[in-house]
Amino acid sequence: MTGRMRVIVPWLLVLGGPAAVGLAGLLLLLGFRDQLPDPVAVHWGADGADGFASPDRALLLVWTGPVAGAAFGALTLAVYRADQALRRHAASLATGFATFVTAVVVGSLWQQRGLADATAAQDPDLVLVVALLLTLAFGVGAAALAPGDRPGAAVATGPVPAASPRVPLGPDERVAWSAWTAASPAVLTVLAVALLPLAALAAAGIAPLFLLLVLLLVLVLTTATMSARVWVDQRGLTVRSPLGWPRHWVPLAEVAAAAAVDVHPLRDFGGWGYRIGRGGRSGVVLRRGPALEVTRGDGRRFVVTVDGAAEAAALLTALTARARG
Amino acid sequence: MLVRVDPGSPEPIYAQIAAGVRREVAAGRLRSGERLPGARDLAAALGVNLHTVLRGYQELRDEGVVELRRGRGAVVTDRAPRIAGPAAALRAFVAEARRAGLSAAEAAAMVREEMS
Repeated sequence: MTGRMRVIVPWLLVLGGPAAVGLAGLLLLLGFRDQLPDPVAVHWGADGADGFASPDRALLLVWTGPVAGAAFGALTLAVYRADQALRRHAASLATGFATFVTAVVVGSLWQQRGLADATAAQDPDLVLVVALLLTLAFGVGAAALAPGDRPGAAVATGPVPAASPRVPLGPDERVAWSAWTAASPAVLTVLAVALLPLAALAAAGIAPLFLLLVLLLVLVLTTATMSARVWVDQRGLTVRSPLGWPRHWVPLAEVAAAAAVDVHPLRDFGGWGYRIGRGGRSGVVLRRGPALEVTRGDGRRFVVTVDGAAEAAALLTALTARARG
Repeated sequence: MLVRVDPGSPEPIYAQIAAGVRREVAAGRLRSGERLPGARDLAAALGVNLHTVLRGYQELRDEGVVELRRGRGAVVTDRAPRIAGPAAALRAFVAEARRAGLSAAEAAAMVREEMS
């Protein structure tokens, strides 16, 4: 894949993905538009359908998802420096968002075919579940289509900065440094509190299936991203989630420099977790404080908050210096 | 946790790994209740055989520095900070005693004498 393709294909995905989804939704909808009551139900409350609109208005609703999704994706691509993680993120965000909204609109209208009166419209719980599953599938699919980085693009040439602190290292010595890093209790508490209403509904047995799925999804994502095992060794820097994925690996050959820095998640990265931050940095930022920052051969920086960052940086510098001089 | 292995050293690699963990515990860098990395991961990181790492972890378990728990792996015990330092010295003492041809009873008597 050429460099130009690496720029064009993500834009095709971010604009074309939502467009394709919107078009598919519109065509489906036009197929059964004649069977819809007038007005159709577009909003549901505790007592059933309580918001209505003309079918033609509803047709317009189909486009809200794709337009918004494409806008989010485009903004992401335009603002941040592109690497394969960002391209995948933008593609899946755009396509996923478009899919969810379109599927909900089309699905909830599909359920109203043949109805004489829209007040009898079934509430869209099952539609939401199907929409969520489709979103996951298409989001992952779009991410898979996004171009990867050019192999070897980030390889570092030249020695590490002479002034960087390093641990003493024998020529044949094997050394490994490892630590566990996790989100601060404060962050986890906030997450737990935010999920409490959902969890309470689930425990009481009255949560709709869709909300149960969302709860499950959030729990899985939280487990995957709120703690990690960090390794500095002959392979380079590896940050791995307890579920095995996500995994970030900076090979030793790509390490141009390693340093211990101080990080404020909110200020530097806009939040906690797997982040893309200001100034071309990305990272696993789980708490405020010391972090290991690695600069790659192409200038991109990866950061992971972890105790003992200074020792880790010194080891990584020493390993790199020994490998490359 | 930092572990160094020198393949050129006369000390077996598994013993170097165990010694490394003892050092970290004695220095307070590994605390009671903390989990050691998985043996497979440490073996990949150091570029050594999995069974070498497992043997090192088993030595630590036999001394009481770690517990091996199903599903959690090797966990630093509550008494590990107290015994890690003496355990390291014990290895050296026992090696010396063996070299001198002392029996276990003779060596134990020396320890009792010194501690009273």
